[in-house]
Amino acid sequence: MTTRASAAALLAALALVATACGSGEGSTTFPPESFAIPANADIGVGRSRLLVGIGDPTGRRLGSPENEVVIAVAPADRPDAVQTVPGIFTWIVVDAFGLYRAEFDFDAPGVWQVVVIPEAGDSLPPAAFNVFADTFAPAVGEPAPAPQTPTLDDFSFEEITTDPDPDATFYELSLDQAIGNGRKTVVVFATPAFCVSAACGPLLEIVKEVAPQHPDVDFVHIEVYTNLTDVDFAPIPKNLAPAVLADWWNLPSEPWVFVIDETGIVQARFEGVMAAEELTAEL
Amino acid sequence: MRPRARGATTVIAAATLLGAGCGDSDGAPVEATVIGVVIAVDGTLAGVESFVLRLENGSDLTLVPAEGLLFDGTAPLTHLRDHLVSGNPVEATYTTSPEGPPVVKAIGDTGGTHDD
Repeated sequence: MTTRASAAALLAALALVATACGSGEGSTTFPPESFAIPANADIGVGRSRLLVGIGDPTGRRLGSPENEVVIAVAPADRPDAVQTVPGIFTWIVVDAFGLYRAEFDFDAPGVWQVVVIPEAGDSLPPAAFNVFADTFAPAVGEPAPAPQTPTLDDFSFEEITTDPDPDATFYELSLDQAIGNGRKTVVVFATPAFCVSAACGPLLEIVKEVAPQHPDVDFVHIEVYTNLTDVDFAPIPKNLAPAVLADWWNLPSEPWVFVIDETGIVQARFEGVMAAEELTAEL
Repeated sequence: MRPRARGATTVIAAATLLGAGCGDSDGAPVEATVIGVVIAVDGTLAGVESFVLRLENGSDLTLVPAEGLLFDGTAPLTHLRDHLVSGNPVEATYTTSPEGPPVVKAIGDTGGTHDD
């Protein structure tokens, strides 16, 4: 089935859903030129969270908690196998832009399509995204990699984090000390200084706000880059921290938050954006 | 060490169009600058292999970065994912290639207005 035919088939399959969901009584609608943007880098087979932005060609990001939508997905080669879930809007920068999120059961790898159905008006055109047989980063249920990572025992703040206001407790334990020590671990992979836009900065701040409420959980921040104090440092691949590379966490993007259970198994994974309640629900 | 089953790069799933064409009438490479919104990025933290811009005319353009390319000359190209999330447009200068997608030699935040 060609991409165009697949998209048309998905929209046809969603016609009844749109009629039911978009009853015309709601007010959410998007301009005609709007489109959906799948924002994940690493979705694997199984239950996973899909992040979807709504934009227009000028770069406006649309959507808000008040703009209710339903998100529909289906494999491109099985457009009738539609799943529909209400989208939950999460601000990245409050009152500026955010993403909708919804969880789906991705039962097969390959190309999938997502359609955003507003309360009123037309559904947005289908947008394609990949579901992988094996994710880049560890999946839920897999053992968490446990490399030795730098801590304040051996390094200064400046050497191991670009957070301008670091929480010292996030740099007390190496990952190989935290994982599997009988306590849950929350690990944040982020690089505050080199995430130029505001899109990823809030994630570390959210975790820092949640941490004090859970003294029974270990929190670890892993800076994405290393050699931070070298005079010729630059945020280039040779300076990526070993923990994020293929031998360990193999991250395709940043930031990420992982929740690891007491036995060292990945319990939850959050790519890019995360609401505080999503994290607290895992703790 | 975690076993890694997938080492190859991913394929951008978007139904993109190579809107730039392959060069001038003689097949010689053509340089152009476009402004667009990032709608897909293919790669890892170690590098971006390709990305897709949705242009102001509604068409999609798949681009590959030149080796060593930095965003605004300073930031890693993974910054394109920030633009995918935020929606802030980018300006890309590329050279067409008869053998594949256009190759980007400069990319950064937009500044001023442009006629495409």
